[in-house]
Amino acid sequence: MGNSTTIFLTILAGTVAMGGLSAAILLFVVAYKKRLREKEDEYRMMMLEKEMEVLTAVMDAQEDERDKIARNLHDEVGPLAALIKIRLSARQATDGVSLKEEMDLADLLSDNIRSVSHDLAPQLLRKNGLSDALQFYIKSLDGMEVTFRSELDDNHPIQSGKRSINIYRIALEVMRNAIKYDKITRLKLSLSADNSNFILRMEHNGEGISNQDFADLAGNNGLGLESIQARTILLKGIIDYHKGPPAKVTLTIPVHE
Amino acid sequence: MWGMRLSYFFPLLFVLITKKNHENQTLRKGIAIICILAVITEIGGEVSTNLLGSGTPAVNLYEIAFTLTTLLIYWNLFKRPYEKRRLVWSILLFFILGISSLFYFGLFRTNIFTGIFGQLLLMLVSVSYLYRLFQEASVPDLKSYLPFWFSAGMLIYTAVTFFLILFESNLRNENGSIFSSLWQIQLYVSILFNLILAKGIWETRLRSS
Repeated sequence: MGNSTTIFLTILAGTVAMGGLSAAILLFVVAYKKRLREKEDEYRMMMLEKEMEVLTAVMDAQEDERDKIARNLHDEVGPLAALIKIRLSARQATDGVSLKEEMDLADLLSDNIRSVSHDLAPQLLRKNGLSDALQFYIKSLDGMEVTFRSELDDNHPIQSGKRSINIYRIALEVMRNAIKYDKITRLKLSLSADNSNFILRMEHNGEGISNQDFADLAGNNGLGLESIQARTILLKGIIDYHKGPPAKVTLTIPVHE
Repeated sequence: MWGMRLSYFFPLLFVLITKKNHENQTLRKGIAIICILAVITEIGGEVSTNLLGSGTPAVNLYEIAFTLTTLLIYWNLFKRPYEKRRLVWSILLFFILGISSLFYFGLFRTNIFTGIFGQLLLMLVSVSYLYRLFQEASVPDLKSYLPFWFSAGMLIYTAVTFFLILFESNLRNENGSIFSSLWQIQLYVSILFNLILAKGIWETRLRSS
């Protein structure tokens, strides 16, 4: 091998070595970008978990407070309304004056207290489960043609626990919005589940809202919709709005947490 | 040779241009010191060759000064106390062994010890820094991070120089032409190092929005 060939080969080897090291640096940059993305994903997941923790804490506190108010109403204000009625009844008997109007008002007060108390902390939900509680609510809606169907058995995991409260609140909020804004007269509610998902379907004869409307309104101080959104996130579920009539709302959540 | 000498002025030029608009002033100044050291060594080498017949004393002193300056720069870049402690020990060790080796080899013989040990140390430190950078992954854009450019350039420079010095004495005795062509590689890698530093300083300057 001649001297010039050796020199050429040496320089070539040096250039290849430098090229190799430069390529290694480039590989480092590529690997770094991948790692950065992973770290960002980890950070996002961590933030999401924290957000979920805060949301859960807020919702739990809200439920506790509702329970407390409902108990006070039921145990303290309710008996007072009953006492008023007893007193009015006694006075009517002794004085011989008709106090029917006042007694009706006391009855109305008593009913309202029971209704508000039930609304704040649905005892039926705790005792009998989600299906019965929703059926009870939907059947109590006056002047409405309602259909209720549930495929859930009594021992289904969705029937009780914290998740049932969240589903119940979402369903009530959606129904109330439909009654308040769409003046609906027909409402269908069905609960079904397979091995992986629980599905709540609601259909009414109002116009309803679309998913885009929901996103816009929920982000714009729509407290009720914001609560629906927060509870859906907590349930790791998806809520799907379809404009009507007939308008449809579908809530899908995983059966197992 | 002149290409390499000229290349020292690229980072220096960008250091001057970005005097008031650079976020990492300490590293910027450190790079300037490294380049100035190299320029002084080039001048010192010429003077020494003319007066004493050899440029080796300048190179021997440069090796020690370059390694210590770079280690000090890394001491500033590393933030964790244990990393700083390790660097302090490295600086002390290199300083003591470097000075001792000067007495052993003398100024006129090539000090292989500082060459090999210094390059190896710098290679390890730059790899450690890049590894830490990778582990933390806290810099959103590496292109706009001067320590990355510095460490990448330093790794390429020290890795190539380390292997050249490692085979230097054998090749010098066995084949003079290969030795001189290896020296060419050293020139190229120095130019590459200076260009990386220049590019790094320029890329990481503060831009007015």
